[in-house]
Amino acid sequence: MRRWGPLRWRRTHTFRTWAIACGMALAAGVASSLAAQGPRPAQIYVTGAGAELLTRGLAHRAPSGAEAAAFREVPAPALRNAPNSGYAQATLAPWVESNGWRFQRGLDKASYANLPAGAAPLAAAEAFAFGVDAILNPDPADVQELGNLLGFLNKQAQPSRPALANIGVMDDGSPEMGEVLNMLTRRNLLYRVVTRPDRQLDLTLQLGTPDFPRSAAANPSDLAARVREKLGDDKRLVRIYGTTSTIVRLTGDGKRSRLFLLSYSRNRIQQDVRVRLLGRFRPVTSAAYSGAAPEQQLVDVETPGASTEFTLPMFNTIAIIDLEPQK
Amino acid sequence: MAINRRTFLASAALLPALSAPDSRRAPKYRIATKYKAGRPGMPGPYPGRVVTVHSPACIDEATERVDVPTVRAMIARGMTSLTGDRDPRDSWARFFNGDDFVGVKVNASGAPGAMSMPEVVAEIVANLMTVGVKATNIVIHERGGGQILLPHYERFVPAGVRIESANTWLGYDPDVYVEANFFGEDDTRSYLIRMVTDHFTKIVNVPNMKDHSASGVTGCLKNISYGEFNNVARSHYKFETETLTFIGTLAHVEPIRTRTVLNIMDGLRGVWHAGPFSTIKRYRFYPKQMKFGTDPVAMDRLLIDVIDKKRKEEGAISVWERDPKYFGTTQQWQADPNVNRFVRETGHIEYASTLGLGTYDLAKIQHTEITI
Repeated sequence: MRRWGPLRWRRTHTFRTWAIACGMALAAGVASSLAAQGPRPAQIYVTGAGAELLTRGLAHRAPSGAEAAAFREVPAPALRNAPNSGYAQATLAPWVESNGWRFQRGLDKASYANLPAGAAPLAAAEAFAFGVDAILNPDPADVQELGNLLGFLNKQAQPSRPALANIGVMDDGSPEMGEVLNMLTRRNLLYRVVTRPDRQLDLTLQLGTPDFPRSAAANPSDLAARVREKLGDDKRLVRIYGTTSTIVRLTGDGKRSRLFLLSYSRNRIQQDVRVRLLGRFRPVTSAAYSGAAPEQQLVDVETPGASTEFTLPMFNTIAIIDLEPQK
Repeated sequence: MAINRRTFLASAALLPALSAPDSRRAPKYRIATKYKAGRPGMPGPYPGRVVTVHSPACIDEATERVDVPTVRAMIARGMTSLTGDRDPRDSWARFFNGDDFVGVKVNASGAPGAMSMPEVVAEIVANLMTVGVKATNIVIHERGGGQILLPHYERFVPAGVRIESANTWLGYDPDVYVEANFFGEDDTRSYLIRMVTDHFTKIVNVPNMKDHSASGVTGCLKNISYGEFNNVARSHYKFETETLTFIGTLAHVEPIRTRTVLNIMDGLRGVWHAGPFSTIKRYRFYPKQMKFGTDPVAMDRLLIDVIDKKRKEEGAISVWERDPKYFGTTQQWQADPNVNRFVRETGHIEYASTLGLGTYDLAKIQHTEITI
């Protein structure tokens, strides 16, 4: 892993903002320590279509029998543009097909049985970021790049840490609530499923309450927007600028945090992505899968107020940034 | 530049609706910039003053071939008439000198059918070099990496002149942006391209004369705002757009406002419907003129009349028409100039005047027209 290189730091520390940042980092740590056990390191398995990756030690052989039955089939990660009726447009944001919400809901063994060409690397990255064991059945055209990506991911493997979130969702298991989770994931509103309201969290989404009447679930997109509004953008743990097709995951234990960025764009390349984290952090290492392009470092690291911002000039499929709370 | 970011971060710069010419409430804008005006910015030294130079010989309508000597003469007359100097070099020297690093903000969004003509841009570059600006300190630029390649400016300008976009050079400045949530989008920031902040000391703004389905028309203000900041399409994809206030808001952010010292509107060729692109040739027209000034509002106010006059000649609805009965699909709008696909916000120019960017009242605009 590359150590932190030359940074373009901007300063501005006051005792007040330092205290706020420390408080938020501590709060995040407390919240995470109270969370359920975090995901264990992902194990990536491949079917016979990816056999050459076994010989290179990049993946495990796909299980069979009862062990295989424990894996639930999930769709290939993808991106679709919203249908345009021809009358202006309802949204500019493309539809991201991510399994993040399924993993957040508790699915911890995924089978990517149907992966069209181009999808396997992102499937591997998605499973890795969410700490989910996954069986991949790659298209033959993807095997080489999948190998490159798995080589990259293997270098980043670490003991996993709990997911950080400041929104709790009381999930009734319904399809409607599944779509709400999907919308929250899609908007990078970091949540975890809870069984009862948790005062450590900033907000709990519980249907049937005055803030979130049961009828609101009929429109999951609007409900996610309402969650965003209730929380307030300033309280969001992560904001992403410059992209509408990146999904993040944040893990941490109070001493160190890890930010994953997953690119669902059609060619999986993202340029000039600006990231804002709530709390003051120091990036320790960064690793961005770059495919054939040169790897790029974080630039313009700043800590305005009680937040941290930086720019990732370019990454392909996945970027991983490790951070420490700024003292 | 040693600047305390907190000192200059205009984080509380929430723009009120002011006297918006529309009854709708202006969105809540948060402007972040570390730059302060070092000298008076737009509308510059000639507020309310516009010089229009017409020439029937500047472009051949059949071949779209540009007559370079005529363009050269038009620019010389336009500049001297604007400043009152006899020698064009004196006019250019009022704005630029050998210490400057100049960005030439072209418009290539409709290229090759509609764009800042390479011959016009080349003549501007030649004049900049005449007053001492080095070729290597001139950057012809657009925000979009694909668009800037289409006109092939490199074939018209001296070696050393750079042709760049935010995709090819420096990207965006993380410290200069406008934040607003228009329609619930997650990406709420529009960042300024970094070559403007890090390198340019001055900008020559070279827009075209074009109809625009959302903003009514597109001229100086839109070229220097939507053309220099990212994530701007979010303001106009629904029937009702936020172009009314967003264009002027971006244009008055420092350092864009201070560094844009000269506007030369290329009206050799224009688009009277289905803009800002020019995929349908029958909507192209040939105003055969150029406008000169430092006041983008006054220039754009006159542009409204150019586009509207042509639309009336063609029997099309006005750029002011906002009646829902004219709304249609994109396909209908492309096929029929009496169809709108957005609520046109031609009032964005008047709104910009309320931000101090220039003179909107026709009675107060000093307009000189010359034909050569």
